[in-house]
Amino acid sequence: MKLTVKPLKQKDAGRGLAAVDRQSMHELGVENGDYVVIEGGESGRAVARVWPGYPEDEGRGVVRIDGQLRQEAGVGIDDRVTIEKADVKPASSVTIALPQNLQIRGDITPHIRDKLSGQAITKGQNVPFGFGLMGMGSGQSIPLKVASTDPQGTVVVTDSTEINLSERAAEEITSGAGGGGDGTPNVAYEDIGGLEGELEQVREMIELPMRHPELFNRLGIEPPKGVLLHGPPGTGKTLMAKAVANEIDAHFQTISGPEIMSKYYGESEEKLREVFDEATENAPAIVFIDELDSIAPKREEAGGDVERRVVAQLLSLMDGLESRGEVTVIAATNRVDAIDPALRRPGRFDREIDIGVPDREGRLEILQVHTRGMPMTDGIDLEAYADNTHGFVGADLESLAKESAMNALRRIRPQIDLESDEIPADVLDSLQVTERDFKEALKGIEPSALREVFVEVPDVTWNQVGGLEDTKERLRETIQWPLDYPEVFEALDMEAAKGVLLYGPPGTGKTLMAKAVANESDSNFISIKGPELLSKWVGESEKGVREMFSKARENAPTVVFFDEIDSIAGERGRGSGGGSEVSERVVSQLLTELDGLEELEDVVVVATSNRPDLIDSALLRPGRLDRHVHVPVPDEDARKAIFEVHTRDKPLADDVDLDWLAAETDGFVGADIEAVAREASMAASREFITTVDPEDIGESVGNVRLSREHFEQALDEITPSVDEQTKEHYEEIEERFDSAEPETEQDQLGRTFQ
Amino acid sequence: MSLKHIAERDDVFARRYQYEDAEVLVADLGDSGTASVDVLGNEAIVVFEDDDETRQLELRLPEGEAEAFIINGVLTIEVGQ
Repeated sequence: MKLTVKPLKQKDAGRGLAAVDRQSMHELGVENGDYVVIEGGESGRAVARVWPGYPEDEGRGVVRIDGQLRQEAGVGIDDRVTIEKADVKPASSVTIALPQNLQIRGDITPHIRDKLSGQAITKGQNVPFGFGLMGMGSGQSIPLKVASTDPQGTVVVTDSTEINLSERAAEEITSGAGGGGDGTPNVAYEDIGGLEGELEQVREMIELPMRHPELFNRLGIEPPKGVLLHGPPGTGKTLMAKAVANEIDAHFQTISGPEIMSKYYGESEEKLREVFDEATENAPAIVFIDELDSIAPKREEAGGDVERRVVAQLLSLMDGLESRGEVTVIAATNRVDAIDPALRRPGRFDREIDIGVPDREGRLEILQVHTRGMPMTDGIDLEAYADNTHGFVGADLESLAKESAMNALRRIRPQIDLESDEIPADVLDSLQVTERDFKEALKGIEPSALREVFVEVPDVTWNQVGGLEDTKERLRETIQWPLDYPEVFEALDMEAAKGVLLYGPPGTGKTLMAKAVANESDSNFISIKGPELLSKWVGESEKGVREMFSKARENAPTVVFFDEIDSIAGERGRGSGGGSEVSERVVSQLLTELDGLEELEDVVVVATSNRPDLIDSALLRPGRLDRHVHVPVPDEDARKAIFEVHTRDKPLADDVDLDWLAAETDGFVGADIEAVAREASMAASREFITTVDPEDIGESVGNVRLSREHFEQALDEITPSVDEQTKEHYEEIEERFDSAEPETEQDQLGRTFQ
Repeated sequence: MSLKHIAERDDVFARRYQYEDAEVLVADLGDSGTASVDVLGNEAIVVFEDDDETRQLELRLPEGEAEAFIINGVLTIEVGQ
């Protein structure tokens, strides 16, 4: 029976399984676990166990197999294969050849039997074999080779199969079937996570014209000839090119910038021509140019004559008078704007594919790829790691997996004798990656796209913000709701607020709130300190703002936090020439970033200020910092709540009454209250340390209590930092803002939620 | 242990699929030792027999007619709905 080949999901790869949809399974008369033979075009033949098809494949006549089986069967995705029920005999003995450079002491045959058990193997077949940690990642498993089997043909390894090790090394045994093409990289589509859409686009551009040129003939069009992949570093551009080359079995040629440069006149171009010539001879072929910006920069900006000529040569090779036949060019770059514009037109690079930072699902898939062969203990929840790794690209996630494994390795390091050449097999088998290893590794890795501006997400929860209930609620609805309930926003056809301005007297907790928002909204957090943006070069300060926002966009959802925004966004038109012009341009840049042609998706700006009256008014209108939240001087109830937060973990004596404290501290702001609690503890410890014998301190420290007296001492020392006048001043500002602020959509939302 | 539970464990290669008419759990147990499965009421009991010990795994099944079998180390539990 004929079925269409599709790729397996990343997490299911590497087990010799063929997921056949259930309807076809009934027609074939096989059940889950039965062996089937998959026959591809020429002599390819692979044996796999049947696995139930994915629910979405129901009735589509699809068989999903992984890259290894596809290679064995000599088929690609979307090919038709013949599937039959196989009669597979249990093996009585199997001889396995190890690679020459593998040095393991002890008997590893039980391991091999363990890992191979249930798999169907044929003589000459390569079996990738994960050995504990060495099995992580797809390319790092040890290639074992099946030297001979008894009985002959395809056999299945069972518990009673005798496993022998061959005297000869795996390299010496020539394989009968399978084996990849020469010079093609060993990456399958299953090794790429989270780029389905992009992969589909690339395949449509490259695989289709190579396999079925007749389709394009029928339509009377030239098949596309080039694809430009661009995106931040580490997102998988090179990997994708490798996978495509591998899966379609085309001749693969790489060009790396510096290699083709030569000191002799005209030789650099010649090398370029040679590469294309060789590709044409071996057509169909793929020429892959990594880091295209290094050999094809904008000609007007290129430094030397050579660069210019190389670009010109590349232009004519890609779309010159001579047809380049069935040679497809894939190029990758992370600086797409630095490339000569003449290359970026149809006929040369027909399509530009943006490879972005992966989303949650993508991250999960990537993690599954990188932990596929990793021995992990129970309870490691990859989904949780996918959840809290915003802004991580594939390379970061790979490094996360690798670092976790290194942590596990560090644990068994003492048991390894570095002097001896071999590692005992039982030590290898005891290696396991634990939840803790992952946690430790996560601490050390920050998303590479955010590296320059990354700040550790502060560890502040709403719980630590005392009082300020109204303010909290308003912040939550502005920042967390759009991320948590996008469907509501869509149904009501409203846009999430772009920004929030928190204003109020010093010490009332504006920064603390911003920290809590960043932490609770599970977003990336970029903190911008005003003065850092300013540079002495003309245009650099504005560039800083631009770069900040473009980073925020790439790594959305992001909270961009401007502390003391009045320092960089003062009223324009006030300065008298000189330095103030810079800050005016910075303000203008900020305005266009917040409400410009480029959409800010899932990026929220949170700004704080003590002097909202100094901020440029254009910045405060709806559409920019559209919500103004007054963080007021706390009232008595709020002060009590703040005292609760600050005394939560302090040992209080029974005579301390928080109501009394709150009543006594009129005009105190959050920072003052924190100081009171700190002073009181200080007073208590002073009393304790001076009265107790130093030797007894360890024993009696549990008895220390903060008493009412201590708090009275503290209250004497600390005076409120906000006086009545300032308070009134801020209330005036609030009134002004309120009257200027129209009834916004958010208020309607507030009602719908009640 | 319920079916959902076992499908989420990382050490057992198991998947749970929800079809229109049935819920299916498949697990690749490998071929170490012999394993057998039986359905008793709303529980599936998987028995592994290694060389010298016997282990047993009980799985709570959802409502519906259940069918379970093991072929070549692949455990299938199908619950019709």
